[in-house]
Formats: sequence, C-alpha cells, structure tokens
Amino acid sequence: MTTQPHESRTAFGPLAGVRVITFTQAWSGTFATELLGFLGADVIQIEARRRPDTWRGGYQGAIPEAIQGAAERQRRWNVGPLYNAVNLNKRGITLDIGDPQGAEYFRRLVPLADVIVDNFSPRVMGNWGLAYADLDALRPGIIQASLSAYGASGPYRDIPGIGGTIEPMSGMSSLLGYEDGNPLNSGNMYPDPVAGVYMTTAIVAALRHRATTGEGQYIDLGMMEANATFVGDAFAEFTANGRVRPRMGNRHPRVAPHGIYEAAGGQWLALSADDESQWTALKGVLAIPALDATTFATMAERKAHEDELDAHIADWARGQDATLAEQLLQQAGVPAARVRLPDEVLADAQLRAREFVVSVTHPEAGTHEMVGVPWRFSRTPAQVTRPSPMLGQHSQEVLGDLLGVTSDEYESLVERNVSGDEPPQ
Amino acid sequence: MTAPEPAVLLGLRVLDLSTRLSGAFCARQLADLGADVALLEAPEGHALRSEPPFLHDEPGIERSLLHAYANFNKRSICLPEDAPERHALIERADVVIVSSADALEAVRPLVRPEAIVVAVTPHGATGPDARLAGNDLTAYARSGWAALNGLQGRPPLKGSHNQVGYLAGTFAACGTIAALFEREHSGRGQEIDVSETEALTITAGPSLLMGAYEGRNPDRHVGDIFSGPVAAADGYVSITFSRAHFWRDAMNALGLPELAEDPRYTDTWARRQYRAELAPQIEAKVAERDRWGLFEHLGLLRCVCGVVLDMQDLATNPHLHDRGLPVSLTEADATFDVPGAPYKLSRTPWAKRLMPPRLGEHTQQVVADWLGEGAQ
Repeated sequence: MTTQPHESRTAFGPLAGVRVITFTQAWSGTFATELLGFLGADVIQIEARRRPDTWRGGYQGAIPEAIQGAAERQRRWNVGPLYNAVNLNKRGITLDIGDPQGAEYFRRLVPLADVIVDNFSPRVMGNWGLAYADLDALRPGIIQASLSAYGASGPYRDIPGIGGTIEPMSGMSSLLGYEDGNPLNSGNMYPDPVAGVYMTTAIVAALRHRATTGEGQYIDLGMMEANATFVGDAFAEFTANGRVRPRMGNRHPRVAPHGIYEAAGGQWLALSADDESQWTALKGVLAIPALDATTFATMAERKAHEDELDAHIADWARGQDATLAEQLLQQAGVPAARVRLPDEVLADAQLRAREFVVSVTHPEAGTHEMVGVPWRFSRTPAQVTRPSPMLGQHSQEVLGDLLGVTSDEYESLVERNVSGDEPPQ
Repeated sequence: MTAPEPAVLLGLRVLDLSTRLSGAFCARQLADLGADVALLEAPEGHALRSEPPFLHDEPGIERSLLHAYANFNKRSICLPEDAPERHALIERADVVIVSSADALEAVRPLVRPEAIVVAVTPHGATGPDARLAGNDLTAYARSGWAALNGLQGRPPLKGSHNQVGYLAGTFAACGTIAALFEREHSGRGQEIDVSETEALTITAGPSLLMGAYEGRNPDRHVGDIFSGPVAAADGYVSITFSRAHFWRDAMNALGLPELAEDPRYTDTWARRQYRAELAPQIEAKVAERDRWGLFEHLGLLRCVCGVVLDMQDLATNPHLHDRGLPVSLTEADATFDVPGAPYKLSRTPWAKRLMPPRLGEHTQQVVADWLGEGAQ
C-alpha cells in the first residue's frame, strides 16, 4: 500500500491505507469516490479554478436562503447543496492539468496514488497524456477507473450524457411513471448513484486483485450499461417473451394490493400484502367485509380485480391518519409506510437508531443532518469523517505534505491560477 | 467450475442463503467476478423462483426470468432445513449471505472467524424496525424518493420494479469485496449489515440537503421538457440544458434561434422563471423531429439528449451490442438475453460462467467440492 509520510488522521475502514486521486465531478463519479472515502481511503479530489465542479453551482448567484448567515464568510461556490451532499470524506485541491506546471505536479502525485478516477469523456485523459499506459509507467500497478456516459468504446462513445439523459437511454424512464402517463425521469438523477456504486465495486475488486497479484488494471464504466443491468428482469421479459413491459405506477406484476393511497390531511400511505399471511393481517386491520369476497380469495384473484380492491383500500385510507395507520399495519406484519417528505426523512427512528443520520459541520454552510454510510462493518467501520471540501481547501496541505511544495512555490501557483481557493483572476 | 480468464474472486466460496432479490443479486455479483457461489435452496426453491416474469407467462420452478437473472453463475444445492450438510457448508464458506436479522443470528455461531457474513435486509439487522416487513414500496416511502418521483398533482411514485433489490444488492457486493480486500491484510472476517432502505435513502441525499439549504422541500416534476422526457414524432426524448452552450446550440438545432440568442435565457438558473412560456415552444419543435435524428444532431453539437428506450429498443440497441452487454441464458430449454457486465475490468473481466441452475442441480457436486475428502 501507499506509504503515507504525513499521516493526517487516524486510519479506519476496510480501505485504510489506500490513496485515491480523482477528477470526478457532479454526481456519479463523485459518489463513487465518496464511497471510497467512507470505506477509509484517502481521497484527494482535483478541480481547476477555471472549471469548478458544476455541482458547486457556479461562482455567481445567491447564498441558499436557509443557510444565509450560518458562517461569517460564505462564498457561493462553497455552499452549493448538491456538491456538499456528495463529497464527504475528501480533501479538495485545485490543480489545472491544462497548465504545464499543473500537469507536472500531477505527474509527481501519481506515484503516491493507488487509484486514479475520472468521469471525463473518454478522450480527455488521453489528450493530457494520462492514458492508462502513461499512468502505469509512472506508478506500476496503478488502477485507473474512468466513468463516462456510454463507455470508452462503441458508436456512442463520444456522445456526452448525464443522469438526465442516461435515465431514458438505459430503459429506466420507459418503466418509471403512471400507468396512464408518459415515461418519466426520477426526481433527481437516480442513474448517477447507480453508476457510482458500480464504479466503487469495480475499484474495490481491482484493489483486491492487486493485493493478491500486484497487478493494476483499467476500468471502463459506461453509465448506460451499468443502469441497464437494473432493468434486467424487464430486459429478459422482452428477449424471452417478446413483451415490452409497460409502466406500472406503484403496482407490482404479481402482488395486489400494492400501492400508495391518499390518507387524511393530504398524507399518503404505502402498503402491500405480498403473501397470504400479510393479506390476512391487512384484512384484520382494514375490517372491510367486502374484502372477504371470493373475488379476493387468492393472490391471482386479487391481481385480477385490482382496481376494485384498490377502490376499497382508497376509501378506507382517506379517513386514516397515516402515521397511526402505518403503526397499526406494521404491528400486524403488513409492509406499510407513510410517505415521508424530504424534510421528514432523517427524523426516522430506525435510521437514527442505526446512526445512519450524521450531523456534519461545514465551515461556510453550518451544521446539517445528512445521510451517512450504507454499510455497518462489525470490525472495520465505515465512517463519515469530513465535510465536503471547499474549493481548493486542501491544496497547500496536500501539495506541501505529499510533494514538499513550499509556501513560496504555492503562492506562485496561486498567482498563475494553477491552484488556489478562489475564482481565477 | 471452469474459469476461462483471471478473476478477482477465484477460489472463494460464497454460500448464498438469501431469500430476497437484494441478497441474491449481491451473491451473483460475487459469482460474476469468479467466486464459487452455492445457492442453498429449500425443497420449494428460492423465493425468486416464484416471482414473475415467467417464461411464456407460465409459472414454474424453472421458469422465472427474475430467478434466471439474479441466480445465473451460481450452483444450486437443495437440502432440507435440518440437513447436517447445511452447517458444514456454512462452516466452509468464505462469505455467507442472508436476508434477515434472524438468519444472521442463526449463522453467526457457525461461521469461521475469517468469514464475511453479509445481511441485506429491508430495514437493517439492528434497530427497532429490524424485524419489520418491508419491500420496495416501503423503502421508496421512507427514503423520500416516493415524494420526489412523479408529477405535481399526482400521487407519489415509487421507482420501477425491483430497484431496491438491485441497488441494495450492489451496495452489499461492494462492501463484501471491500471486506475481502481488508481480509488480505488482517486475515480476519467480519459482519456487514446493509439496509435496503438506507441504500435507497443515500441516493436521495442531494435532494435532502438541497431542501435543508433552501428551507423548503424540492418540488415534484411538472412533466415539461425541463424535467424529463417529452414526445418526439416517433417516441420520447429527454434533453438537458445544464450548460450555456447546450441551450444555445440546442435551440439553434431545433429552429429556435430567437431563444438561443435571448440574453434572458442564457443562464440556467435565470431561465427557470420563464419556464412556462419556453417549454411549449420547445416541445412543439421536438414533436416534429424523429428521436434518433435529434439524438445524433444534438450529439454532434455535444449537447446532451437521451432517447427513451423501451425494453425492445434496449435489448436491440447497437451500442450495447457493440459493447457486448447482452449475454445469453438458457432456462427450461429457452434461450434469451440479459444485461451482463456493468463495467469492464481490463485484466479480470466480468464473465458469464454458468447458466441459471435448476433446483438442486449441483447438490452432489458442491457437497463433494466443499465437504468431500481433500476439500479444505
């Protein structure tokens, strides 16, 4: 593993001792590298002052309303909620690789890294002379991971794409929507984290291969195909049966009832009965005599009469307090949940009991509760240790500690816009 | 087992005791990377064998396409609940995968100290709701995603079928491989507890923090071109205008030069206030164009445009075929394609090694390999 001459924190997690240098931006790639950080890797993320991460929201614009005044100094690019949501556990540096001196510093960083990650279009790294062969020459055994919309080969390789266009291209949008409506995209670019977690998986696999053989490798991940694996059963339904799966709203191909029903006061209640015991339990809570009819006696019958069944449940739900109904149904063994609004999600007692909710203090945005790590490792816990970095926050620290860059040298890089923590001059 | 090429997890024994898609998909991803995965089934078969879609819509224990997709690359062992081999297999495994808190407790005393035990459950294996029933629907409701998906004025909307199982299974596979990496140094095992609800909730993270920073909940979509797919002449497309040149070039390409040049619309955030008047103009132009023509035209301009592919479009897509995504499976004498490699590892490629197993197809073989004389 990489030696760390200036260990800046306590090692933790299964990836303790692994160093990742990343050019990731927006969400898919940044999510992949954030997960590596949760697992304990030292993640150093590079931006250029002339082209900061788009998820910072640009250099102009207003400070988001609810955090105004949360800190004495607030710079727009450091308080973007999207960027700050997905870059925990990283150190952030600015280094302009398009500048010969910036490129030279990067080449000196490569031998100190185990993994280099980017989510550029496929040709960008090669144009910089940083293709896999170049990196492997600088650091034998390195792992290079490149994430792009369509991957590094194939007819679409040079076509740009983002979550909002990968969702339709991967088949996901055709399946998401109401039964009577158009295809939809998810509320917020779901394909990005799907591609991201696959990228993390591939990187961790490559790390294990290197741990046992010393060999590095190149990883090519296309968001379109990564996401297409999440519609695998619908894909097979076409190739095996010739049927194009329609949009199903909140329904399920086998189970009825399976829906989200309006409750009292504009609340919504999700419930289903996935097997006979849950159906019996549901009937017990609903106490609607009509549900004892033979037309609802088996799952196949309930599915065949789903509209009628849903009408009964909708009538019942309309008078219910969703919170109380959730409790009653859960106690009876029925899968049920009140639909949480975004600002209610992290109040959930189960999420809090498992310490999934973390309180993160950001120097310019203040303290907020956020989603935490998605794994509980019993012996090497994954953790949230740092807020998302401010632009160039760790430039001097990283360049100084890893490359011995002096204050004077750093100041000259800042003057030339190669590094620094502000918009370019 | 034959392994035609180097594989990351070759030689590792994984015992798949899952009863849900999430655990089964986790185990399959380990099999894809070369692990010897034994799917231990009760005489009635794995739960996914009873889930649609079925081959030619006829239910049957060897006919579920979801089972085929989630369980290929594995060997199937069928043993009754009280079979003595069951404990012996657990004791030999490097990785054991379970789907409930109760199963985790049952397995815990039996595994080797160096084993990784993975529990993928609806709400996690600890906490007040550890034993509560849950599924995709409850995860969407609790994660905030149901409230974010769908359209204003319509009900909250879950994601498409099985998303939570696929997603949580992938998180679990990722964590498992990380623990196996760590084991190379420490020689020690551990438990990994993955909650399906948490796996989904982390993907709502940006929307949750945006709401907190702005002091209001994000709105659901209105269903216009600024939020997702709209009708083209022969299907649907989605166009994103997140960079200044995307807007300018796309408006020119659509024959709307007056919009391209209007300074009021240049900035993405400023453009939002004109959304109601802009959307119908753009949508009318899109409706005249064919979807692939737009995709190619805008792609050449390096604007982002996506065509809504239905399952026929996806399964026959030339780019995916060029990339080698579809792989063929055989089940009940029928052959059909499923999506294969989600990523390309240059040295240790993803590989399809085994067809979906028939129930108990490999019982004797696995028992001999894992427990027979000379087995480690």
